[in-house]
Amino acid sequence: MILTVLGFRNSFRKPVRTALSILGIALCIMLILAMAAVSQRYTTVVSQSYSIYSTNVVVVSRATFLLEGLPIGGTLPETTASQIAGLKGISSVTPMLLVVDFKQLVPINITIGIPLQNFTMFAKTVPLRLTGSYPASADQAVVGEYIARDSNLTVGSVMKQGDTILKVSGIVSTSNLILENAVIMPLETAQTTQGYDGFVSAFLVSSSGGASAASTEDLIGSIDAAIPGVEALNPAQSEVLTSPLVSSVSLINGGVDSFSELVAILFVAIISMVNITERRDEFLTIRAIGSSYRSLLKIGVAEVGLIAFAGVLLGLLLSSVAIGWVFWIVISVPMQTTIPQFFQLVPLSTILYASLGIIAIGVLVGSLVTATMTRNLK
Amino acid sequence: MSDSREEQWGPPSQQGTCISRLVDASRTFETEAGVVKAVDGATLSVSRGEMVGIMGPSGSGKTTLLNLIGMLEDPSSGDVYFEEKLVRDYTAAERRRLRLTRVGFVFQQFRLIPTLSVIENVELPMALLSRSGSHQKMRARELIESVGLAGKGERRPGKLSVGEQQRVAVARALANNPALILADEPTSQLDSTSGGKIIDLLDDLRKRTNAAVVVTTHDSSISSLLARVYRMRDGVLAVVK
Repeated sequence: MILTVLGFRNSFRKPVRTALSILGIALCIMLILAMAAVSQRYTTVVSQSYSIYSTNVVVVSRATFLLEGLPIGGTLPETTASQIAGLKGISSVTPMLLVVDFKQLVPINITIGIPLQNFTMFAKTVPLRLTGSYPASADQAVVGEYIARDSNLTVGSVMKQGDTILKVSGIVSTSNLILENAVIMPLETAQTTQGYDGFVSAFLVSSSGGASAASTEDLIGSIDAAIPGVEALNPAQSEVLTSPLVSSVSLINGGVDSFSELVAILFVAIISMVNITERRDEFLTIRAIGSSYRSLLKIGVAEVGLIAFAGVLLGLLLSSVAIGWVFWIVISVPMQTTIPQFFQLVPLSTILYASLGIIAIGVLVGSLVTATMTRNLK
Repeated sequence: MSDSREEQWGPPSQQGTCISRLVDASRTFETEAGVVKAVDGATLSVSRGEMVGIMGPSGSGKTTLLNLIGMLEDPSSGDVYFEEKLVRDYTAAERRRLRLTRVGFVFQQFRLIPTLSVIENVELPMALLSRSGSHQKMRARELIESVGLAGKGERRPGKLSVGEQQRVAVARALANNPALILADEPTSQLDSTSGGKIIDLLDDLRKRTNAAVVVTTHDSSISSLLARVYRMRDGVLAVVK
């Protein structure tokens, strides 16, 4: 017990150095977790983008650039719907207008326009809860929960979209980041407010032959062959553009993780070395009176363990603030919204990996340094 | 001896049993200036219950001699015995254990741990021996009282006078009831009165515990307080009285 107490008290002998060491480790933890939160958010957006399509085939313009699963840029005349519907094996064609702004690769200001009769389609693929009702007329819209909270909207509120006044008929609560941030309105209204009269972003197409892979491929082939200027995609194809981005984010994330872990371990190793070098006489005295190396290790481990533990705790605190700040800067999400959602934004596995990893490796490195240095003390 | 006294100091051991013996022991160091013989052919035996003084100026090899007796260093030539067994025949772990259980060190400049309280400093050797917390606390208190520091157990060493720190160092040396106490210049930082008190304290402890005590000093006035004295000069040990 005294040996552990001795290790702990030694940490407070040089309070500034100890505080800086704790801060250094905390910053490493913060870097790992903030990076994890951003990449987690990004990959979630990408993966959730596909789920808003209720069909297995999406028809877009060949000029369309797919970013994170969302059709950007190119549009198709609304009349193309009848051409697609005329093909053999088509059971339904739903036009959709999707207008999205991106800020730092994160979709914001999302406007979705779909025909009035198709408003229930999202509920088929995305778990959601509707407060109020779907629009019954062109001057009504449903809004995502985040937009409602951010703009202080409730069912019955009015909102302005361009020159158009819309009444909020319902609020969608969902974990889907796209719908949570979207204003969903009748297609015509969206076309008018966004300046896309007569044009849509995509057609969601269902085949009468079911959703089997063979049937989907047949459908895609027939659409591509029959209608010039369009491209029919299944979700796997639409991932082609985003997969490299997701891979890059994962790679950067891994790099930041490794770098931060390495820096934290270096901190611990340096602290151990400095502690032993500075208190050489003390270690020699304890060894001279008959201490085993295990007892000396206890002292060293208590010191670095305390610093690593305090660093991790401070790191978790700083991470929640840093993540809130990053989200506020990047996508203008208020910090008071993100900080309480810390454990949703950062996977628990990442928190445990970063925290316990740094403590465990730190203690191991501290032990090795203590063992090596005390053995060589003369 | 009463039961409580036995509890405090342990049972009396056989007076006169040889605890440490050096036979023509030398210790050399290689320096940039050449080979230095810190201890040159020293022969000495220390038995339980006796107090031996090693006199000599700084750099004469007194500390190295104590290191040989205390098994902190190996002789370059000659033999060192501890409890009648050649020290080189003990394993490193056995020597460490012997230092912890059979030898008490009073280092030059005390070498107290500044972050530990007086009582914790005295507890330290017992903690290294994994004795129970309550036992070590009780014994540490008794030892602190016995060196005249009752009521100062919770203080840090830095808050004590030099003489008091030396007393704590003596109490720490006695923690595991050693058979041999090695005191390296215990009076060097004290005035002659305080130095005399420390020697008296060590002598009193010797009588109570029957431990052998080896004291080094460069202060010739201390020698009058000791029954058996050696002089050391340039590593060579010679009998004075």
